[in-house]
Amino acid sequence: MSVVAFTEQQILDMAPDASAASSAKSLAHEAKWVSVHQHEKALWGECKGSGAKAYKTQIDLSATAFKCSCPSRKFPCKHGLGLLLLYVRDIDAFKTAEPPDWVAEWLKKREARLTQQATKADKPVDAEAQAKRKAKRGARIEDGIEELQRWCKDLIRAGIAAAPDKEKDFWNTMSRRMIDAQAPGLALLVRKLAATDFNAENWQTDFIDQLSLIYTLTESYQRIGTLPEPVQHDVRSWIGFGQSQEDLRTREATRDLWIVLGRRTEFDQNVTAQRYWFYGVNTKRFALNIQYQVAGRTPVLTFAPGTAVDAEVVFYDSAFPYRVAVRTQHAVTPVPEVIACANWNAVLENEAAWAAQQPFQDEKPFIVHGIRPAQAGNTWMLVDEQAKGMKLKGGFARTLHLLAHSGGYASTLFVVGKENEYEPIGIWKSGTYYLLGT
Amino acid sequence: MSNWNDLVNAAMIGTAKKTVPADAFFPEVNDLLRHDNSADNETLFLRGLALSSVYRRSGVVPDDYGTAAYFSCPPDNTPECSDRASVLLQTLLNDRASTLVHFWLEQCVAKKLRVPYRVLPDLFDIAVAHPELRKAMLAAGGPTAGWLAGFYSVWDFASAGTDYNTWNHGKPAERLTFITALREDINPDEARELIKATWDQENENTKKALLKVMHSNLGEKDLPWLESLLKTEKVAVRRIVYEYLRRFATSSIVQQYVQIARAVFVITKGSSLLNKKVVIDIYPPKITDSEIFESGIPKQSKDADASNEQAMFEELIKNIPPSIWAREANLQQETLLETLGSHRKHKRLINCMMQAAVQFRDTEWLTAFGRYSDNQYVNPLAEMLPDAERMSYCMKHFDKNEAEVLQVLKNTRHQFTTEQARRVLRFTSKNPYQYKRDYYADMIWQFPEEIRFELGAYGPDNNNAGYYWNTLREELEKLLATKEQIVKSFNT
Repeated sequence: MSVVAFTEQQILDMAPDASAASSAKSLAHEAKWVSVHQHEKALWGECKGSGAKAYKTQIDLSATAFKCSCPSRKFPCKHGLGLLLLYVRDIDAFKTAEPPDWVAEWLKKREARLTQQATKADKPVDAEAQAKRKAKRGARIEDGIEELQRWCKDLIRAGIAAAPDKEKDFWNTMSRRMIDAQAPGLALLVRKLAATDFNAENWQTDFIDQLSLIYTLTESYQRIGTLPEPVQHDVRSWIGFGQSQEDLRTREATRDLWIVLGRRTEFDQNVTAQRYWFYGVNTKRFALNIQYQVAGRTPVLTFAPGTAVDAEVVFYDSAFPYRVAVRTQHAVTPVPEVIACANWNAVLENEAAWAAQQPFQDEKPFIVHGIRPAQAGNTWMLVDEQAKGMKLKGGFARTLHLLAHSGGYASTLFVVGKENEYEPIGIWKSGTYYLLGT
Repeated sequence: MSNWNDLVNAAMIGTAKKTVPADAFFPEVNDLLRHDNSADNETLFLRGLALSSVYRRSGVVPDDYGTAAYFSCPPDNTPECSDRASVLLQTLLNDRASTLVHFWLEQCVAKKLRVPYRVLPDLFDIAVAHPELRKAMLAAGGPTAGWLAGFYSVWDFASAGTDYNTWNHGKPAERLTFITALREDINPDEARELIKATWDQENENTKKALLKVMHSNLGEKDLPWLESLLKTEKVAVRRIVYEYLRRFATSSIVQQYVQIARAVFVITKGSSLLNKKVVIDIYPPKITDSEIFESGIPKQSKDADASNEQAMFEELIKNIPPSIWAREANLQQETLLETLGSHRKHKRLINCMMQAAVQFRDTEWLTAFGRYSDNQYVNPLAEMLPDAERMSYCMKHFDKNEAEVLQVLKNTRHQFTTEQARRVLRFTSKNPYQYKRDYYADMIWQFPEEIRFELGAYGPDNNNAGYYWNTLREELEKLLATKEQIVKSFNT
C-alpha cells in the first residue's frame, strides 16, 4: 500500500492525543533517527531514545499497522507517527532495503495471522460444555433483564421528574448489575441514561428516548424467538452479545473505496472505543468500524480521517447492516467527490427508512449537499437550499470552524446526528475533503 | 393526549400519581396498543413511550428558516498561498510555533497572498495568546478574518476600532480597547477628535488613560489640543501633557526652554583667519517661572556630581533639539561635539544632546553621534536607527558590547550576513544558559538559513554547557530548516 496519499494532518489525526501528535512532530526529523529504511511492504527505523538502546519502530504499509519497542502505552506511539511523518516530509531520507530480521519476522507473523484469520477452520468444540455455558449465561441475562424492567417501571411509576436528583449509586448499581448479568450493552445504555444532561432544556425527551430504548431491548429479548432473524442479531448485539468472529471470517466481504469520514474516540470506564465512519464510493453505503481496547492495549487497525481506503469489509449481521470489520486493505487514495443527499428532507427520509428496519440506532451519518450555517435567534442552524434547517450540534468552536471553511456559503457536509440536530464532522471544499476542527 | 409534550408531562408526573389513559399516544401508536390488555399501567406506558419515541423521530420534518440570518464572507481577490505553504502553516500552528507562524505570515503578506480561510480559527487562537501576531494575521487573513472575528468576542481585536457604538455606550475597558485600536492602527486623528468630544465628561483617571492612548502616533496635529489642556487640567493630567509636548520643538514649553538655555549657553567661534577657536561659556540658569519646574525641570539635583543649577541646565539641554546649537554658532555637528568633548566639565553635555536627538528623532544628529562616537557603542542610538543602519552599527560595535547589541537586534527584521551570523553564534553558543531556545526563536528573522550547516563548529568550552548547547543546536537546526521551508514554499 502506498502512503503517499497521507497528508501530515491525516497522520497527526491518527495520534491518540495531542501530546503524542506534538511529540511525533519533534521526531519527524532525520537527526532524531539512527537509521530509516523503506521497502514496498514496510517502513522501519531506529530512533534515539532516552535509554542506551535505540527504539525499533516499524510500520506495515499493507494495512497501516505500527509496532515499536518503546515502553509507551499509547498507540500509535510518537515514534511510529514520527517515522510516518518523516517519510511524508522527506522520502529521500529513507534508504530502500530488504527488511531486517526484526521487521521481516513481524511482517511474516502479521501475514500469517491475517491468513489464519481468513482461513481458520473452526476448532472442534465441546458441544455439551458450550450448551451449558450458553444456558448459564441465558439464565443470568434473563434474571438481569427482569430486574432492569422492574427498575424501568419503578422510574416511570415515580415519575422521571425525580431522575435528576438520584444519587450516583442509583445508576451505578443497575449498571453493575447488568455487567454481572453478562449484558454489557445494557450496562452501557444505563450509564448513558445516567449521563443525560439534566441541565439541558429538553432533557426529558433525551431521557425518555434512552429509557424507551432500554425497555424495548428488554422486551425484545424476552420475545427474541418471535422476531425476524436480522432483528434478533441487532437485539443480541445491543444487549452485549459479541458477533462470532468465525462467522465474520467466513462471510463474503464487500470491497469498495471507503472514505474515512471521521473518527471519534470514546472512553467508558477502562475501555476506549475508536469509531471510524466510512462511506463506500461505489456501494453508496455508510459503515462504522468500532475497535475496543482495554487501556494500554493497541488497536489492530488505524485509519487516517480524510483519506479513502480501498478495502474489503465485512458487515455485521443486522436488519440494517452498518457496523463492519475491516478484513483487507489494498491502497490509500485521496478522497473523491461523492453523491450526497440533496437536502434535509432526503436525509430524514433515509433516517426514517433506517429506523423502520432497525429502530435502535441513535445517531446516524449522512452526507448532505448545499448546507449553509445560519443563525435563528441565538441558535446556529444548518440550512439547506430549500431554507429548511437543522440545529447545529458540536459547540461554538465547531460553528466557527464551519464558518471559516465555508465562508458562510453552501457546502457539502458530512454530518452525524438524529432528528433535528446534526454535528458537522467534515466538509468538501473545492473537491477536497477536510475534517472540521473543534 | 396526542402530542409528545403531553407524554413527557405524564412521564414527569409518573403513573403512581396519574394513570395514563389508553388513548394517550399518537393515533397510530394507540392502534397498535389497543389490544394489549394484559400488562400493568407502567408496562403499557413504557411500551407506548417506546413506540411514540420511534414514531416521533421518524416523523420529523425540517423547519423553515427562510428568515434566519445568513452570513457570507466579503469578496477577496487576493490569491491563496500554495498548498505547500498552507500545509507548513498548519504544522506550525499545531506546534504553537508562534515566531515561525509570525515569520510565515509576514512572508505571505510580502508576497501579496492570503492564508486559506480554514486555518483562520487556529490563527485567531494563537493570536489571542500572542498579540504580536495580530497585525500580520489580519493582513494575511484579509477581509474574511475581520468577518469571522465578528462572530466571537474573544477575537474582537480583529474588528476593534470599527464599532463606534462601543465608544459611545461601552464599558470603560471596551471604550479603551476601541479607541486604542483606532488610534494605533486605523485613524489617529479621528481618535483624537473622539477623545476631544467627550473629554469634559471624563473623570481624571479616564483622562489619564486616554492621554496614554494618545502616545501612539503622537504628532504635530495633536499639539493645539494638548497645549489647550495646560490651561484647564489638573496637575496629574498636565504632567502627561508636558511629557508629550516636550517631544516637539514647536511646542510652547520647548520654546521656553530654548529661551532660558540661550541666555546661559553661549557658543562663540573666532571669526578671523587665525582664530577659529570655539569657546563655550555656561552660566547658571535663572528660572523663575513655576511652569518650567512643573513641566519636568528639576529644582534639585539627584546627581552627587552635579549642582542644582547644572542639573537644571542639563535637563533643559536634554529637551531642546540639538540642531539649534550648531545652527546658531554656525558649526558642523562634529566640531561642536569635539569642542564639548575636549572640556572635562562640558563632556556630560554630549550625552544630554544625544538624548535630545533621540527624543526629537533627529536622525542627522544621531548619525553625527554615531560618527563621533566611532569607538563607543551608544545604545539609544542603535535603538533609533532604521533596520539596515542599526544592523551595520550594532555589528560594528558587537565585539565589546555583545549582550546590549543582541538585545537591540531582537527588534530588527534585517538578516545577518553569514559572517555576522558566525560572529553572533560564536558568542551565543558559548553562553547557552543565557541564549536559550526562545532567544533563537525570536531571532529567526536574523539568522540566515544556510548557517545551519555549520552549527557544529560552534559551542562552549565547558563540557556541561556543551551538552546543553548540543540540545539548543538541534533546536536551532530545526528552526532554520523550517525557515528555509517557509521561504521556499513562497518562492515556488
